[in-house]
Amino acid sequence: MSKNKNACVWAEELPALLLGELSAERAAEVERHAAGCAACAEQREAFGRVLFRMRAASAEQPVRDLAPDLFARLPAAEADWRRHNFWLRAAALLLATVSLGTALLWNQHRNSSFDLAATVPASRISNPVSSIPYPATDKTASVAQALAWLERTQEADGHWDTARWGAQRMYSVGLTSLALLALSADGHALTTPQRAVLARGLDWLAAQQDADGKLGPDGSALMYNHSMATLALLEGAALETNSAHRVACQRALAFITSAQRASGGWGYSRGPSENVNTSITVWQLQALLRAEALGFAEVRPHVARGLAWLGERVSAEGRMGYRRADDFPNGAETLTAAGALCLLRSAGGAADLRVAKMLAWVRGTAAQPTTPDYYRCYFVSAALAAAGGGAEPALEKMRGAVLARQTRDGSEAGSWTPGDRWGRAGGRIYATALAVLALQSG
Amino acid sequence: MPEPLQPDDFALMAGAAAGDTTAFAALIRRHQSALVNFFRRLGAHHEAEDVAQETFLRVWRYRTRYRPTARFTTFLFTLARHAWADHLRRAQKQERVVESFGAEAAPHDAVTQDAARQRLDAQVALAALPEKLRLVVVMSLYQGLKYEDIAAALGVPVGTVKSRMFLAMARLKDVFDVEK
Repeated sequence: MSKNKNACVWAEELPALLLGELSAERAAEVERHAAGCAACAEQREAFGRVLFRMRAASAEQPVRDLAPDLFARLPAAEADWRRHNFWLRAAALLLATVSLGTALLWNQHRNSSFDLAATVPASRISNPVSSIPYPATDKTASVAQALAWLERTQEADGHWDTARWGAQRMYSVGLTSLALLALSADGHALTTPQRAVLARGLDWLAAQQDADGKLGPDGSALMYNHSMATLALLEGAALETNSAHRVACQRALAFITSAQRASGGWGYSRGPSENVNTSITVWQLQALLRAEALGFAEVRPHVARGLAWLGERVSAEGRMGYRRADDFPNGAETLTAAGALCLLRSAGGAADLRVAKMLAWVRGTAAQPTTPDYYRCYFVSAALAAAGGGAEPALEKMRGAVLARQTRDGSEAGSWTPGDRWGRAGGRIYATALAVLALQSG
Repeated sequence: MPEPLQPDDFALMAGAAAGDTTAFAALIRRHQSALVNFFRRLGAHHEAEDVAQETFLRVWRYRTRYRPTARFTTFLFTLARHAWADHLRRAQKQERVVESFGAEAAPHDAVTQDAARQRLDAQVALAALPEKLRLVVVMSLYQGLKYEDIAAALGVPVGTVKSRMFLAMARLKDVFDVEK
């Protein structure tokens, strides 16, 4: 063992520092300490060498496909499990007849032997879209049930609680905004209590705004939170006459325009870096386009620059790239639909040949069976609806799939279970709000 | 929202939970390489594929118990840890592995040092670690799991993972220092 291993109480932090496991604040603290501590500085350098040598041997050896053999083994394994389960149940029954207490202990042992895989009823786990028949569900009734769920889950101060609904706290502002956008989607049809829900939510959002006009905490979620909140405040301003909310809109819009990069796009933060991408840019543009339509004329030059930047990211086949026109690190379906939506909402967008190509590509992918993705469903629905295709088969099929996934009974009736790729970030609020928006778009 | 690292694991697992073997096959193909190499780094050789298959069989067995709020790789490596422990128990080889590699890495034996100088690559250094430390190093360095995911997979506090990683680094440093 190294003679320095216990030389300093900070030493245990060094591997965590080198592996990127510390928060930015803690990492800075450890760095400051190491700068003034000879033992830690030496240890840090030594650990760095160890990591380099270990990582140098990190190449993985090729592996043959295990699936065929595994599926061949499956019937015998399942028979074994059934036998095992039978004897387990028999043993439990026997013990129960001897002593209820013994049986309870047995059950406790079985439950505690597998910590992470705690039982979740199969009915709570969503299925692939392709395996679900499209129901003849009444869309209006489904939306009404969803809005009722949102209404009864709003916290007293007007926000929706991320921890309660399985979402990450960093998206608190954005998720409350999505819930408010879902409520505003058909705002003129809201009941009086629902209008009160909307007003409380908008008040909460406006209260989150800081002196710079920023909505939400700094960090990687900032520009998503901020643009969604701006959009929600704008939709609210279109429905009500609260001057405080309109002022909040103006200040929020000023923050977005100040964050626009010289290239015309937007990135994760407001800094000078040109590290911009379409995923963040489309949300800022959605807010600015809506503001322009509502009469906020000052945003017009920023919209033009943003749309020009966006247009340069469309590939020859009509797909929207992430940083460049040929950059698709996570697929192009969602971004192409989102980009088409923004371009369609601009003047002359409907006649743009690039947009026609994008829409053709979106229609093609929308018709294919796929795994659930409410985020994508929302943008595809909104883009196709904005293109004037209210009764398009691809759109109807996608909306039918969304309807099929709604929770119909129990305490969460009306909501959607977060089973898609964004589920861990946004939880049930995200899934429900985006499902409503997908159904209501256009 | 930020782009996902593993966009479809949850959906594939949901498909598997509903009995969709195509989704399960896609899940196997996505993770089989990482899993087999994981067992190889823990000390398995020709049996690495068998233990990986055993792990996937457990994924299928417990597919309806998977909670979508947990990262899939955490669930997978929890089952992998159980499969590995069972494998070691069955083969009754855990002590033999530790003892044999421990003898190879003993720093004060001149003959062994000479041999070690020739063979001290990362795999041997890794094998010189006690099982608990080796698991943490492999999961962190090679499988890319974060401390909190390792803690969940091993059923220990995050602070324990941090301590084990420190101890592992200190021991690896000593093993590599033999070369100087």
